[in-house]
Amino acid sequence: MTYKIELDSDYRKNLSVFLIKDVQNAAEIKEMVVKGTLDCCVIKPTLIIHPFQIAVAANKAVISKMQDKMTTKTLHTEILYNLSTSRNITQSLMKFGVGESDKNMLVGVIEESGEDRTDNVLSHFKGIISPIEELPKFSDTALIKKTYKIKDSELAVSTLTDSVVTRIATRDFTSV
Amino acid sequence: MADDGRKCALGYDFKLIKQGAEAKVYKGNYLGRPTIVKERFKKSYRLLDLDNHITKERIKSEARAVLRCKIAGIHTPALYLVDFERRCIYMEDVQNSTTIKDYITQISEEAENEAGTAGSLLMKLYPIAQEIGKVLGKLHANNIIHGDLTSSNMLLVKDEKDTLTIVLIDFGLSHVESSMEDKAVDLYVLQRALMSTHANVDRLFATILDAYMKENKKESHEVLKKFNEVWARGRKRTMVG
Ligand SMILES: Nc1ncnc2c1ncn2[C@@H]1O[C@H](COP(=O)(O)OP(=O)(O)O)[C@@H](O)[C@H]1O
Ligand SMILES: [Mg+2]
Repeated sequence: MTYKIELDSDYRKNLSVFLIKDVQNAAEIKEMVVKGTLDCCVIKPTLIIHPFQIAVAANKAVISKMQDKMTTKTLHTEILYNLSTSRNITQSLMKFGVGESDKNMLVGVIEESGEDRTDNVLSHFKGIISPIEELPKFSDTALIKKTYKIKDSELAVSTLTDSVVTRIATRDFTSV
Repeated sequence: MADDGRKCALGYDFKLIKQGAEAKVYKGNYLGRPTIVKERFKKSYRLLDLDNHITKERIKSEARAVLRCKIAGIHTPALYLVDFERRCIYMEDVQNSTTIKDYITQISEEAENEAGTAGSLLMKLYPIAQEIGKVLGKLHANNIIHGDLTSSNMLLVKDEKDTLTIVLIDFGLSHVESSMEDKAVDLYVLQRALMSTHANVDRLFATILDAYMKENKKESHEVLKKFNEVWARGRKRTMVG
């Protein structure tokens, strides 16, 4: 029902990913996230094939943070930036972050084990929390393939998720 | 200076599975997935800056080649994290895989126990040799030079329907190059490796080369010519030495 994994063991935190549909207050959520009053990362589900994609981007973000190598200012923007194939920060945030009139969104929450902020975070969303298993209904496979430049010949030897995460892991020194 | 096993910060659920000359390879769980971590440890005999530089280049070569192979339609492990500071690549642990080396050894032992002939052993390995040749042909047709083709750097995956898949690994010495010479040397390294590790089935290479030629048709003539040159050079060298 929910997706929860442990990030890099040096960081000692977990990542949970939630799918929320029919959100009525995207503009308000966006503002709170930008201001920092709502501590989560909000992502367009159309560009996400599997929550593991967010896990790899988030894990890369926390490692950059620990090594003082973040490109953007916050962990949440760094996750969006890591998801993107572009090196342009503004473009990356626009592309992977939710828009003010978006209805469906993925919400990533990073917390320490034992800590329980998720109920509080989720209470701000005026929408329907749905099982993460419903993500495939929202993923736009064609758009994901185009965004990450993945051809069908590659998908004969790799899952789309594996192809996407390999690009996220290597983005900084590849020009595909 | 000492190689500290904790450097990689791998946590408790990682086990060292191989300690090579350049890298330590660990197996465990990361981000909820079965994961292999390859750590290129510091070499104390090298100047630190130079060592860092070489390591970073090897990691980059490996990661780039893994992606290039996928794009070319060649099986490689998925990458989960590339961390230059820890000198580590975190990648998919290919499930139900054995190295070609272990597989050939195992099949050879079985054949010995069954008192089979060398011929029947070769027959058994024939489909695998063909698949290897096909993958290497594709690799070179895409101008990817592996740099360290051995039977330990190829994984064999057999699924329920007995379909064979060859997964290439260990790309630290790889580069992109269209020269016939580099492709010929790549094949020569493989031939030498097979001869020294699997002397009982050294004829396997002929099958590999055959399938390679079919896959990398356009260059087959020139690569073969270069291969013979490299081979002759190698022979001269061993005769002198
Ligand atoms: N992705 C993987 N999945 C399964 N086994 C692997 C994987 N990567 C490496 N191995 C195992 O670890 C061994 C060493 O890894 P390799 O990358 O070849 O390092 P080295 O440079 O030390 O040879 C391989 O021969 C194989 O047995
Ligand atoms: Mg190896």
